Amino acid sequence: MTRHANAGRVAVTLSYMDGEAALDVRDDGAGFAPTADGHGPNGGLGLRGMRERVEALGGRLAVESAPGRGTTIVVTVPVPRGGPGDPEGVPR
Amino acid sequence: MSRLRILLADDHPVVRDGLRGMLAGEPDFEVVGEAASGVEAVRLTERERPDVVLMDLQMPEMDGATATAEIAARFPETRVLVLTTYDADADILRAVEAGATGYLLKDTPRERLYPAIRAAARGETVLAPTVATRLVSRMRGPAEEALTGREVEVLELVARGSSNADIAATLFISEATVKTHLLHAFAKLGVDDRTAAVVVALERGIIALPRRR
Repeated sequence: MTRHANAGRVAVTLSYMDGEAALDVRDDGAGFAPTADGHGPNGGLGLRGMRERVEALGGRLAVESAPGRGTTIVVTVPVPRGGPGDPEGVPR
Repeated sequence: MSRLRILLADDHPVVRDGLRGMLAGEPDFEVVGEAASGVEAVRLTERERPDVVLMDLQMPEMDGATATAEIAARFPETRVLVLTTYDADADILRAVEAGATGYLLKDTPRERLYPAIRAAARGETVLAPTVATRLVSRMRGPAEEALTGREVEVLELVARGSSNADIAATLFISEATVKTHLLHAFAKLGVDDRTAAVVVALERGIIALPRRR
């Protein structure tokens, strides 16, 4: 990602937010117009396959980007309360 | 019987005159001074060391709650009895937190005011019935759910006027995640927009006013 996007910084942030977990991967690279032909979220970057797998888990995949503004990919999946992924651990 | 020494603090001369006239009818009361501002109330308390200060809340040059806090800290033997027209929760809480011994409203009939002053002088808490009701119902209310560190961080940036895109760039996360944090903060604060969220968070002391640069 760093190489292709010409980014100087990449950060991966995992946030637990009341029943869901979000994985944000943000870079400060070249960015792109998500609707542009061949580089949209459904083509060219291998995102179609990722989206299908995330949606199979009941989650969402989104891409936020603009030319010159870096790119952020965010994957959100539900984490049932009290389930194995709940950071608070105990059932309520 | 030694007389109760009373200081009147109210910026309206008519109110002070009325109180002075009312209290003059009670042989055990002595009005030792009148203050028209919070600053004057503190100064006269220092000089006269009254038993009770009847304190208005809305006054120029230091409001009543601030003056109450100063008197409670410096002259703990002096009791402050708030006498005001305001019965908003925030006013009541501020005054009680500042150390007021009692909180009465200006529509209190004199036959209730006199015993309240005597009780305050003994250090007993005296609250107008509506004020007591509000305090108790507030305590009975659902416990406020604490905000996460990240939610507080996001709200602090909102208070500085940052857009969601600015906040996302500052925290180096997605705008979608910023929005989710904000929605959770709104739900916990019982509000539905960012302005109200900032106001409530400031009122509850969850965030502080951004420093001017």
